[in-house]
Amino acid sequence: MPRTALGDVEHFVLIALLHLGDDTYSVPILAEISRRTGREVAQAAVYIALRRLEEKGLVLSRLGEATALRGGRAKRHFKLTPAGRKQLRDAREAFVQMWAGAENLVKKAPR
Amino acid sequence: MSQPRPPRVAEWLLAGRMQPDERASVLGDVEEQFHEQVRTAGVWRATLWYWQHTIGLMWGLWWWTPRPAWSRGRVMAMDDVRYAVRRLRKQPLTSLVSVATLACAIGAAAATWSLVSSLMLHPLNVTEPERLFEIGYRRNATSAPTSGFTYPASRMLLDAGLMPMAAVGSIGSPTPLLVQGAGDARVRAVRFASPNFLDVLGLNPTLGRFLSEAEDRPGEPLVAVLSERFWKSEFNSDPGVVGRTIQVRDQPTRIVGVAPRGFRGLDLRLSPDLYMPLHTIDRVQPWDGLYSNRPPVHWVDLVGRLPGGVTPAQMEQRLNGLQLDWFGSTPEKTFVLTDVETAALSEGARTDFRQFSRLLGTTVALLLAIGSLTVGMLLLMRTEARGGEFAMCMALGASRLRLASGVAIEGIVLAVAGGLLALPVSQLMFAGISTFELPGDIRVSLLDLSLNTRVLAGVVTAAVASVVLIASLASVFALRRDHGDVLRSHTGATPRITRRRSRAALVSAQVAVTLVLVTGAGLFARSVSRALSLNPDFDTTKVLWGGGENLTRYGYEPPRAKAFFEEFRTRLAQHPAITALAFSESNSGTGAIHIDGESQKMPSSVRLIGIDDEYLRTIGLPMLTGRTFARSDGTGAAPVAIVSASLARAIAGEGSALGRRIAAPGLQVPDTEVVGVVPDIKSPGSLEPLAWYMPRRQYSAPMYPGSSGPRLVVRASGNSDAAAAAVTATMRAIDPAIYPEPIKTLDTRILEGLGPQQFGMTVMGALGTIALLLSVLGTFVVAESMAVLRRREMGIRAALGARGSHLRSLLLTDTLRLVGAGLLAGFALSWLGAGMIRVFLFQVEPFDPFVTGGVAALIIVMALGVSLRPAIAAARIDLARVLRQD
Repeated sequence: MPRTALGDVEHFVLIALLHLGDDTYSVPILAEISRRTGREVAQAAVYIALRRLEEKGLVLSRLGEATALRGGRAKRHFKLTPAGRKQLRDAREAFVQMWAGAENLVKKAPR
Repeated sequence: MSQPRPPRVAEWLLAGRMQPDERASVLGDVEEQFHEQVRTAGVWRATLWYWQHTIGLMWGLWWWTPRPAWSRGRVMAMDDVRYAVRRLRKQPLTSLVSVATLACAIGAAAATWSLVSSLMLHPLNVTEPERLFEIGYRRNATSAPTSGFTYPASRMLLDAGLMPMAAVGSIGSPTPLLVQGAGDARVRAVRFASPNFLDVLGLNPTLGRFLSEAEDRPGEPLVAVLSERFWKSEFNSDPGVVGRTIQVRDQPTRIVGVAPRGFRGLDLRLSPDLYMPLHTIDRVQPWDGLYSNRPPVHWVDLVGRLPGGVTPAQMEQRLNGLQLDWFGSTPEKTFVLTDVETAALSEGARTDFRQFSRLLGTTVALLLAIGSLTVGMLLLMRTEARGGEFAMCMALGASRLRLASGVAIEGIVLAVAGGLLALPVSQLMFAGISTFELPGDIRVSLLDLSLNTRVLAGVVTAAVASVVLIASLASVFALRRDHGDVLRSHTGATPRITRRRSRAALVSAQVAVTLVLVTGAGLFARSVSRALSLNPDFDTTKVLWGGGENLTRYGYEPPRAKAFFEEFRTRLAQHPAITALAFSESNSGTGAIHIDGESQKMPSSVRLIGIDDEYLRTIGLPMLTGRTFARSDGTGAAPVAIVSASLARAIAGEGSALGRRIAAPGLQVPDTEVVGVVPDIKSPGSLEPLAWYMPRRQYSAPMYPGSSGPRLVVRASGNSDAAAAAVTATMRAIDPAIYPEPIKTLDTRILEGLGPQQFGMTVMGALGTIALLLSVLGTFVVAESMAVLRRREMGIRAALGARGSHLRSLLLTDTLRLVGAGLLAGFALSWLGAGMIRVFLFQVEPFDPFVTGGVAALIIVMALGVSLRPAIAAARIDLARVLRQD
């Protein structure tokens, strides 16, 4: 596998960023993943994924404003880079290609 | 309403796992979610959530972080840890008991050491305390050093400019003033300090700034700096507190800053809530004035920082070389420098606290011992139970070292879990002991105790080390057995029967420690009970005494003060919470009185108390002999006195004191006839009080100069708290400017003086209860396992005609034997530690038969009680069934 291949959580995080738009942060990302997948993803996994995605150049982050609700601490906002968008597109195409003709097999498979 | 905060320890732990660039944002995210949890589930659930989330995050961040190849060994070890956790989860009860025991022991040890460290090792949170000195003086070569100067004298020293020096003003203690912060108005301790106070101490404010020169002038608007404790408790650490206005004695006062974190002032018995400019003292406490030399004066303490290269002796020499026109100065007066850490706690208090620390340290060491013993026993049982598994593993080629390391990892997991759980345990301990007073009148609540992380790390490391040692010993016991023998037992062959000697020894040790702890708690409880039953002649729970109410403080002239008290008496007498009230006046007494014209030295000071007609009736003091004061004992009549039983004995020995004539020429009290004797009003500090009661109307009030004003005595009709509230409300209804001295029952006053005993009773009682439960659990485990082990023997005995009662007694005798051995060891331990506890006991000996015998009986009864079930089961054994099962 190439180093830029996306893990499950990384994939989810990138798609959540697409849905939420730029300048979102980890709490809404976590909520979005839970809401859409119905899976309880660990917050630590999201942080690690964001860290890795930033290292790969797929997302960018910046420190935002501090609020009293956060104990006077700043938020770290994330947004997708063009490379991130391309990576997502490629991953989706790869999945579509792989799934071509296989949907029916899944439906017929015994439970 | 104040906003709840996430648990700080959890926050600190989490922050430690974060990379610096992401620390703030992650902590902020979690705090944001915490507040959402508070909103939806409440504070307690949110706090629990925060802890769970912290542990999850810490684990996750470690687990998912990519690791280099060299650390793969750690991952291998993680598999062992996960396997150990899985095994521990299979026996949840024993694992829980082990972790809870360790948590109690580690938490208690860490909290105790943090307390001792904050008082003995780092009492003051100031920079370079070894260079900071309190400036005092000796009146002559033999007198003890005194601190506190009149303002003019302090001014001279400050102006001399020998070293950086700051002034702190007070009236004996931090001036108590009514302060209204964010909540209700309450009496708070205020220190009046010069603007350079924090500079001299080498500290910086947490928020805002300290006082400025411009603000430290008479007539300037009032400003204040909050202590960190006051800021936290009253304003919930609000960062926007600077600029807000509070009321200090009904005067608006602007907050300009918050004092440094952990700074508790320079006296451990007192901890100011506010600091205000020295020269505004007259504005909020209108005495005779700051600038006066005449009493009552505002005493000013001076603290200075020695310049580099100057020794205290050299500085003393320079101070003594100053040509000062010092009011009241005598040639013998010499300056003395005392380092601030020594000055923070008096020598007597330091000695008392050292002894108390030793007692506390021993108690905690005993708990740590019992914790280790319990965990050791549980690990031993676990490894014994896994004998078959070990034998199988070894038969398949596993090394003993590998198997032993698995057991050791179980021990480490237990100790680390215990260490984590120790954090909330120590916080609970801090909360639990915050109401107590330590020797030296140190109130725990003023110490702002927090867990010393180094101490915690040290204790957890020690616990891990001792548990690993115990686990290693346990694995040696388990692995030294012949695995062939073990495997044969599974094929129907009979294994060798071994008695559980090591397990029995551990239980005996537990019993010994339990006896010491519970006896200690019992001795303290008996001391408190003895102190509270010192006065059988009247109801000490219903009679309340006030402090002397000196209205001259509030600018009252004698006629106005008299009118005030008459109005007060009339109003209070009608209050439903009060059934009777009286006034007395007293002053410091005299060490010698004249008896029938001859001067005689008394065994202790005789207190002269002027009382009104209601005094004895209000307290409920009966006449032992003679008569009470009559209407005829007024001005101009022959002086008469009633004396306490102890003073009567001092006057007349075993004879009658009635009719004897006493006088106190030093206090201008003329020859007086003793007309009655009443019981003593005792306290632990005064077991034979020499009290001389005089009818108040025979003397004009105040009786002599310096009287602190009349002392109020009331009898409550019901709840004493309601009576105390009625007194305060009535006094402030007449004049809202007056803040009365607290009025308390004698029991409350006695209990206040027994802070260390109550502290010891609570701590040893709590730890003793834990130890007792663990011992009982240990005894049950041993009795149960012995019963199982001896099933065949019991079956054969039964088959040979032994009766059930005989079989039962065989097993119960075993229990008695191991408990008896433990009790003997416990008596020996108590004997060794008797000197440590003796100084804190009141009218109780360390070997009080009632307490020691009672505790031993309790342990025996509980041990026999839990051994009964296995003994009964063993007595009903059927040999045929045992043989079939085997």
